[in-house]
Amino acid sequence: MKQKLPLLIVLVLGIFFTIQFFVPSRASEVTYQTTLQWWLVMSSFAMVLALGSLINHHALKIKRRKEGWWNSWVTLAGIAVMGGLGILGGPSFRMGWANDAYTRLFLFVQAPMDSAMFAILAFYMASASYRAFRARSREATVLLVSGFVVMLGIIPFGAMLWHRIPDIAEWVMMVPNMASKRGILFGIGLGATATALKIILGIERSWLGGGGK
Amino acid sequence: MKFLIALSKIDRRVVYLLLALAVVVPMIVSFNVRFHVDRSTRDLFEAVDRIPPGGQPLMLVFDYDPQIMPELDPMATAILRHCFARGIRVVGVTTGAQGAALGERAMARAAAEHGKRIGEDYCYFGYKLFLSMIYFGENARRALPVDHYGRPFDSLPMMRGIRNYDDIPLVIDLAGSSILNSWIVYMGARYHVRLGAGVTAVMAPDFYQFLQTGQLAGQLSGMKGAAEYEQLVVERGYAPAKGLASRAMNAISASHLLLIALIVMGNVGYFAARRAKPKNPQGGA
Repeated sequence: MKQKLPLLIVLVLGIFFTIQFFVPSRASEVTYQTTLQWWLVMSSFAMVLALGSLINHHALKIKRRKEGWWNSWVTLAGIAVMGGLGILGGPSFRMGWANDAYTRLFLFVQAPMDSAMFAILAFYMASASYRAFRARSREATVLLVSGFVVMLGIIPFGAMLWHRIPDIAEWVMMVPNMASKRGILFGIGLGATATALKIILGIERSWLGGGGK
Repeated sequence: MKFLIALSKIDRRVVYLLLALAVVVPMIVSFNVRFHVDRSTRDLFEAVDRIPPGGQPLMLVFDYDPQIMPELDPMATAILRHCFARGIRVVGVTTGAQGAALGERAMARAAAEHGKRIGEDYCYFGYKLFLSMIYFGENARRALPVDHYGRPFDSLPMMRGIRNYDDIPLVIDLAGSSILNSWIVYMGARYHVRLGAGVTAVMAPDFYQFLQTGQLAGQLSGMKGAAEYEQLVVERGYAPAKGLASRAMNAISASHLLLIALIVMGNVGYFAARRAKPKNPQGGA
């Protein structure tokens, strides 16, 4: 029963909503609207579950003194401070100072840290492209030349060099690049459809947990 | 020959230093460069420009976080300046929790510049679940019952008469993740929402196919897209001067030129080293 019930729900709802998309009747619309409201409620529960799971994971890490356990304190403190300020400054309590503190912490602490972390990537990419971008073979040379054209096409200097470079760069991106992308996308689309069908029909059961057994 | 070979062995710390200079110097020493405007940027600009002033609002979705804020924030600013200067109303929302404060800041700044009033010229609903935005297609009032500041939907004068996506002429999703795919699949396919997009330069090629099929009305690609939009806003007289993206684009141009130079030097060194390598007459390894 523990396995059969979720499989039955997926089978019935999977088939129903596949058909519902193509049936523009009033009854089908009302069912869809009601289901959307259920999903909204369930999503809120999922958020609570995720928060509980995160706290539990870090609390256990601290308790068992696992490697890097002190970092878990930072995570828990972050959750407590930002969560607390967010609740106090939110629509329920409307404490102005809490909302102000929350916004300041986010904009002046978290945002610069996140941006800095991401910006560091540019240095690694510069170093990596300098070392790896070599015309070692015919294929590598094609990649190199197209990369050059696209890079020059993006910057104003490319148009200064020759006014057609941005157009050529756009052509590279829109024609050969898209041709290969479309092939990949078709593959992904077919794969996703096959996987969805396998899940709806109960052939693929790994989502139930226990490695599909 | 030794010098040429040395070109492929530049220390990585030197590369880092050169890149830092290429980024920082153009941000300080500003110079005005005209950009070639891509068709996708022009299409998005025209789609916004066609919205009648004071009528149905444009929806701007701030689906980005601080990591990619440098690329997408200038897009938001440029679009908001365009809208407010033209008198187009704007509804702001985000489906990512981290985008809430970023969207609020961008909207408040642009509104203050143009003397726009919240509730009448623009509304900000903050963070909403993506499912809420799907539900907006069925019932706007129930999907967004209160705005970011706790004011009920019905108390916002500009939201009167907004039933669902049928009353939103254009939705622009500024996305730093695959959430844009979901907007195209759910809002585009089910509710026939007219969508535009602003994405990071890395993500841009993933959405070109939707431009070709017309599922996206236009797209801004990375900092370049933002700079191009700023240029169009200035050219049409909606703003007196370009913004941050154009200055940042100078830094991006300089860093791209540095990268091209480094790659050329690396290859020169690589071929010099290959030529200098003694050939084995037996042809063995």
